[in-house]
Amino acid sequence: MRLLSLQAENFRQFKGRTPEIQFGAPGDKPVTVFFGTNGSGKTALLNAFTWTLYGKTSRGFLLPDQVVNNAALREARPGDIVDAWVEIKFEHLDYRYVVRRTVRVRRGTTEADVSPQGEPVTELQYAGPDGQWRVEPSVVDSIGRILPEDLHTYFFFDGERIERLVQPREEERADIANATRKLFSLEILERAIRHVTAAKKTLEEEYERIGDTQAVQLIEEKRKVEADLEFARERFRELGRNVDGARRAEEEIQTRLRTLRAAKEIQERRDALLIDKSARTTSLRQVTSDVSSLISSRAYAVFLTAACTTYRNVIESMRQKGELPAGIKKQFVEDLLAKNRCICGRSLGHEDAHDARQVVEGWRNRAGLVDVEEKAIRMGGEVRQLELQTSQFWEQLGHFQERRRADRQELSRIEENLENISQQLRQSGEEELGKLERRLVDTKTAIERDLLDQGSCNGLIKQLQTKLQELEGRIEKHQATEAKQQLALRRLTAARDVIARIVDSKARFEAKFRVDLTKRVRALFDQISFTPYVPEITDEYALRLRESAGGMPLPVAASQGESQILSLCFIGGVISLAREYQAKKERLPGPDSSHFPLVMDSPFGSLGPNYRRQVADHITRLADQVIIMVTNTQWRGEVEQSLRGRVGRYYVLQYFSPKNEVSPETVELAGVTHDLIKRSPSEFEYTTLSEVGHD
Amino acid sequence: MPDDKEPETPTLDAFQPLREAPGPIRTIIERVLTLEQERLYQRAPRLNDDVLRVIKEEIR
Repeated sequence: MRLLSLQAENFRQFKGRTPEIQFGAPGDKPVTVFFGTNGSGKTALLNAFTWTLYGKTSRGFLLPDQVVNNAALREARPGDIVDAWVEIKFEHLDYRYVVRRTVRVRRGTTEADVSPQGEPVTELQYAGPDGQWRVEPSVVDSIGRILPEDLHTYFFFDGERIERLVQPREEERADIANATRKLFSLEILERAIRHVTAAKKTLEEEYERIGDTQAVQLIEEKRKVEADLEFARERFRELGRNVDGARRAEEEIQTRLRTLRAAKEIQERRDALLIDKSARTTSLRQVTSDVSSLISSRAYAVFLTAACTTYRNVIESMRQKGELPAGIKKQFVEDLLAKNRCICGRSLGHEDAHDARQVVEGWRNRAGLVDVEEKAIRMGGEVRQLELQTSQFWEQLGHFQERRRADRQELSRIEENLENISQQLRQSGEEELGKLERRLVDTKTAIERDLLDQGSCNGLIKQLQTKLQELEGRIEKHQATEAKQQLALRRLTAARDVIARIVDSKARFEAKFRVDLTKRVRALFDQISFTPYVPEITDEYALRLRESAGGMPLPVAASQGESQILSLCFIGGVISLAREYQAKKERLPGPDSSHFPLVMDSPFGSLGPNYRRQVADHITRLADQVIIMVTNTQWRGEVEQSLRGRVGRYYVLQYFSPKNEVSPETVELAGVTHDLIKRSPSEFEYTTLSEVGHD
Repeated sequence: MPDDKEPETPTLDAFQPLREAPGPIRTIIERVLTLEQERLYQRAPRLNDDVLRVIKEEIR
């Protein structure tokens, strides 16, 4: 983030609109100095940054309804609306931003009677390389991405309270540690570990949910069905072989019977009967098939008899009412009505022709039935066709039934004759003949039994096939489940790997970072402080000073000055290390910036001359941009000398006091003396701000 | 400088475990860290579902 300018109106001590304050740019002259006496608005200026960017102010600095300048309220009339705002322009990466925060109040009967008009409003606009300005609706998010709110402790601070970094209150400790972790991406790693661990838990649950033992059971069941099926098929084939063998035996017996003289004639008769039987069986099969075809192609007509009757009744009813045939065209009636003259020549236009016109209009309605008549004629043909089809159906079915009956009768007769022949042969006086015939009967019975068994075997095969198919379907689904389970496991393994790697990286990075930061802070502290103390950064990123004694460092109670120095060294160390990591690309995704501003209010407050010089010299070199607010005494001497040649802009906060007698306070720059305090023309104090030059 | 021992900077490469991760794992790490970066300004971002989605998208 590179700060470009700040402008304010009626903000705290600043009455009216300030000029646009330009800040020194990173480079040779990155420092901007504001001079002001106590109470002139130096802290207000610091708060102008944090109030605008984060809606935050220093502890105890102001209440929200005290933002508006008192003199401005005094000058307003009762009922007037007074706005106070601060606008900051800055650059980040390739974008320019303008953020403005406004608070609006209404003045009551007195200037103390102020009512806020809603909450303060922050507007953010940005322009990319194309130079076009756009409104950013997510103000907090956008600013948070550029410079997270909890990092502002490092970049915008009150020097008089800076020792808080070393001696933080209990509730501030975590904030400081978090800000440090955030700046160096440790927070990102910790959050990533937390979120991936949560995802891993969900993946574990998914994995457990998907897994089951049913697939194994189904596969076992399938194996059993497959075995049963194979057994049934083998039985079917075996029965087939039995039938074939029996038929061959049957044929042999019959051949043998034909050769026996006593049976020859009877056997020949039987052969003839068997031929007849075969022909009749074929005929019966054919007629049965014909009946099926007839029913499937023509029988529907039988079910339409009722519909045909309804049709006839409807048409007959219309005929009786005279609606059919229509006999007159609608257009013809329309023409008569249009011409106002009936077919009989009578006028339909006169008032006394009302009844006649109604009669003709009645014909128009009847003429509308012409369409119905056309359809009735067409449907009539179809109905007649259906009725004809019905009678033909019954006739043909009767014919087939007759053939079937005849075939059955004939088959029955043939069977009877065959049985007589068999009986005759069985009871024959010739022993061999009887024996052969009994064998023949036994063989036929065996064939019949095997065929029956084959039938039931076939049924069982079909049943098993269906079951197998169903099982295979279910197993396929389970195999898909198995694939899902494997996927879930791979995801789970990936999550575990991700966590392990981030944990490892974080541990390595944290160890390195802590050492680097400790070294950096120590080096700075060693340059600035003349005490033998050694700074140390604890595991919680808390800052401590230790005094080396017998090689064992011991905690020391640091003075306010030492604490301030230490805090400044810590901030300097953090900023310079962040810049270094950034430059080396030795970083993870994190707050992305190559410029870090440092806005310090009274950073030299309670420091002695040596420390002032050191801080001014060392700390201000660590940031890209430095904005400091000082009193004349804080500036004079060491600080002035240290910063000489590096200040881009000087500004003076001129404080107008309502007191009659004010001690003069001035600052001299480039031979010009500037008053820091003046007499207010009213009973209100206020401050004006003006640029007074640069190095 | 006081006679305290100067701490030694660890020589282990901090980002080696991330850099040497196999393809999809590295992609997951990069995507997750970018998500975290984008929501760093929030105190407690709800990213569980997004992170889960990233893992599922990268491991198919």
